[in-house]
Amino acid sequence: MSWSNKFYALEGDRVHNDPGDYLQSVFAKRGISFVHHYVALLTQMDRWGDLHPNGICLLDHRHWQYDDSVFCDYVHKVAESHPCVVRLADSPFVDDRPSGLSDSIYEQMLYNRIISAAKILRKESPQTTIISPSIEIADEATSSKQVNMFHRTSGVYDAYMMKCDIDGSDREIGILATLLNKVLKKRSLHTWVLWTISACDHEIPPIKIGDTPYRIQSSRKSSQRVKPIFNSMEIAAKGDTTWFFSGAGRDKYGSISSDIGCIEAAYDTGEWGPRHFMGLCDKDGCPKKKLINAFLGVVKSYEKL
Amino acid sequence: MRNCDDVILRYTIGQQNTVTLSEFEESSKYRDFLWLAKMSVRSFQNWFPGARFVVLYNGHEFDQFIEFWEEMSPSLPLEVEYIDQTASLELGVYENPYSFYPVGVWWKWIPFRLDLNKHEIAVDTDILCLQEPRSWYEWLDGDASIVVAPDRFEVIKVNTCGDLYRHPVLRNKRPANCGIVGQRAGEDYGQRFFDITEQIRYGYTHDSLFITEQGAINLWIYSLELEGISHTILNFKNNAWLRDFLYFIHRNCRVETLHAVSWHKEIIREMSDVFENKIENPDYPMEDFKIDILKKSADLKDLHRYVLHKQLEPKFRGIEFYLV
Repeated sequence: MSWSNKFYALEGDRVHNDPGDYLQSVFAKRGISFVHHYVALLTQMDRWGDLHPNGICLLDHRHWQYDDSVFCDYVHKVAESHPCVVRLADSPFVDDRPSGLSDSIYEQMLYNRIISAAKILRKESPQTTIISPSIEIADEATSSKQVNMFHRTSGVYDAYMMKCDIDGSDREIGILATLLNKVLKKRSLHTWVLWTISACDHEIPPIKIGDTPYRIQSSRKSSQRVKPIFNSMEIAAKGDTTWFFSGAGRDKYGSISSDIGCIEAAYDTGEWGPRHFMGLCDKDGCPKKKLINAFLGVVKSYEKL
Repeated sequence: MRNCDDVILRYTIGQQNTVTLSEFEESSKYRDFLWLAKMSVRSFQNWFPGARFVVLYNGHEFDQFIEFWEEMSPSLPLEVEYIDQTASLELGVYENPYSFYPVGVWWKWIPFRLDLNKHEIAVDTDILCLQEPRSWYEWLDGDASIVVAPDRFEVIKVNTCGDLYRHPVLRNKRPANCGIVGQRAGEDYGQRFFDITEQIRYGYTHDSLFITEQGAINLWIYSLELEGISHTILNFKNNAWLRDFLYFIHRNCRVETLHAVSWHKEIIREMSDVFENKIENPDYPMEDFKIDILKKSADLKDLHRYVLHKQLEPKFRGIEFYLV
């Protein structure tokens, strides 16, 4: 796959996976192709016969539950399938960070696994595009660790991945663009941006009885931040980017709230959070039209240039 | 009046988090902000004949901004140049001089200098020039390398310098306000400023988004002072804040500029006709202006009226030291 376009949309694992007919058609009208995003499941290595040849393969973060030899076997197996693109990790410093390891030990292990995985892929599947773990917004100490890790490993990637799922406030734009800036300063590389923004136009009842309703910014407000986010990241990356809409589906909120079991799962992860509202359609499948128009408006204005 | 063809007055206009120009009609707050910015440019045009006026814009709809700006009152008698900072950064006309990505107030310093051959003064959009700014002319015709606005406080504290307020260089210093920052022709101390900003933890503290920028300016002037590079802090009674200016006028002080910090901007907006009259008619006597403000203040909200009226009460205290 040539990745010659500026904008794509993702469907599949760990993204808002079902675009539905409506989103398929609005994206198609604008000439935006869907790309399959999948996790190479570590626990199902024997059943990988049908890995998507043109998709984006994400390594399964559960490799942290296994030792280095299992990890290397796993990456060899991934390399054998000659994936078009491999993302080495999604969120190694935030969501996917294993518990119980000290910072220094974890950082060294992460470094070792990134280097090992890249070596195996380079040797056994030289055509594979190797994408970095996500550059993503985090607290100050974690951001500093991210930057250090990128500075140590930048030589092994073909492109950086940045997770741009911020609310679009000046603060968040500034933090994320600064992180990108710092990573690019060490080694300038093409940047892939995973892009979506949370929005919800109805009241979210609290998970716990007695709590106040959860509030998240409206699709009107979010739509106003789409262009500033895009422009700021473009400036930070000097336009050397490819953008992937990762919210082309329904909000996760709907699927969780619809049955008791999932509500219990929500307890496990704490409260409702922006990640539950990052679809371009709400829980009932209704499109967030202002937001969709804002995204498509960016595409249109980019095409005009 | 001084011929000011050796001067640049520059303004920086951005966009607020939640407001875009495309929703301009609904966004009265942003419209008010632009109105005050234009009033500021207009007011300085009265007293800086020959100067270059430059508006630096870092919002995202530059053409629409120009359209709205030009349609809005007051009209500007002198030419204004507009620079699209976002596009300039995108196209590489300017480099990002920070170690972080600039948002909000930090855009003010991109670029740090527009023309090294001129005295260049950055003016905040909430400062109005009410009469001939002799205190500014004195700096222009003097020797000090830098000019800055006065702050209302006597000593540097967190509310004047944000995250940098404990810096040893700033200990027991009088704070400057970054609403006005000028450099003499031929001098450019930008590198020192950007070196200072390396310490900024952008986004990780509340103050880093706002007042710390003023802290960086304070650290800039006081660290340069250690090397013999002098600055002038304009006199507070001549360059007053809205919360004090009636007090000074009442005591026959020559209030030349007026700084409407924070929510005090709303008061100017609510009395727009009085202020527009003053700006459009520079000869309008200050005493009449004061009387008209007091008359008009009867229509204001309680709190807004209180901010003005308290300045004339005998028990109004706290700024006497500036009368010295």
